[in-house]
Amino acid sequence: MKAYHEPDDDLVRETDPACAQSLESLHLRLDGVLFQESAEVLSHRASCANCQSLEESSRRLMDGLKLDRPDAPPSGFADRVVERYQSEALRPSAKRSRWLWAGLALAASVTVAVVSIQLLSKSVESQVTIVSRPTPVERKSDSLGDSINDAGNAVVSLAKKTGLDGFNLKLPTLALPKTGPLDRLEPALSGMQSLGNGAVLSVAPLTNSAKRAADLFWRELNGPDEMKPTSN
Amino acid sequence: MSADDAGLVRCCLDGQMAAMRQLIERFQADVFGLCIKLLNHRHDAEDVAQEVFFRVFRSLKRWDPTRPLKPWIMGITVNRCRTWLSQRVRRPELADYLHDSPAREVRDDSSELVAEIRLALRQVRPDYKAVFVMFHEQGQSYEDIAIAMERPVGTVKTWLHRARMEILESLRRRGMVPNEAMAAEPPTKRPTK
Repeated sequence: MKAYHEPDDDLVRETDPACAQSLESLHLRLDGVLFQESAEVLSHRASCANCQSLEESSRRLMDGLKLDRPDAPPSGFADRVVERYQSEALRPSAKRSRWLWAGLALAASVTVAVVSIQLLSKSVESQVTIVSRPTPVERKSDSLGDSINDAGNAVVSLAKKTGLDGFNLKLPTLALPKTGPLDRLEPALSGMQSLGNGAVLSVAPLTNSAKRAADLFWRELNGPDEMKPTSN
Repeated sequence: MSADDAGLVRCCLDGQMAAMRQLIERFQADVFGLCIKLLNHRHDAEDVAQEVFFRVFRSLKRWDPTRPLKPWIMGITVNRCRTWLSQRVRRPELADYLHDSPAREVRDDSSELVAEIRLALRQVRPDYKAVFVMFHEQGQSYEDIAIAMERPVGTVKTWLHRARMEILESLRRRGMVPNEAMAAEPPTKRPTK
């Protein structure tokens, strides 16, 4: 007979094998799968006070379970459940409504984002201008000035993708030596700063609107009564 | 699988309110009984039991008619109770069954034994408790409990034995076993975790 101890058992047992066998036999008898315990088990139990004690406890447990009255549901429970279910079924589906409102909220937020970017592009346009190149942005640059120009084109490309048509970013004309005193790098530094500002400006409205839309979407989706999902 | 269950489900899916009422009445005792044992709170148990049946009706289309209905419903019950327990704000647990039981000046041995068993059961881990209640109080088989708990039969047996062992030892510690049987120390150490 298999011992009670399981490899992943979290109870540390230092049990005499005969006691373990007696306990296992007791459990199987209480489970109703063993009707007659072995002579070996009965013999051990007769001489082991602990095993006798457990058997007596189990007898008391079974007596108590027979005496215990199950807790009945409150009267009218079935009627209440049916009435409530019926009234919820007749209402327009709360969940469908939430999906509809969430979808509308998302569409509205995207529209706001696009309009914001368009408005922003108009205000930025008066401040800076850029010459955009039709060639792809990614290429290996030979000089710092080329790198900055490439980065500028990347910002323009990004701005166009976000709907910021007409976004112009003017960079100072750069003719930089590869090496030299730091003061000659001043235009480059200024250009990079403009790049950074331009990138932030172009992306900020979109990211902010997308974040707002996502927050609204999940708030509507979850609703006030929805519990965390379970496996059933 | 009972042909009766399948027929009842078909009527529920047709929207027959009488069939839905009948389904609830058929299983409400077991559902509510398990809820109150796991949640130790009558009002919570009623709320969760209602939620169980709502889920049952909403999911009835997905029930496989070749499988038994009761373990499927009890599985929903276990899951809802687990969710409720994980979300419930910690508060002092009121022993509702003590308030519900009639006041007695003298407690007889039977009622004391029942109270001690219930008290011991409250200390048992929820999964073990669920298995114990379904087996001993509701008479379900290992296999049906395994379906409800979504665990193998071997695990169900182990959990049942552990729950029982904890209750037996509690009864011994609290003196519910006659003195002559209390001579020895229990063989088990306390759980390591």
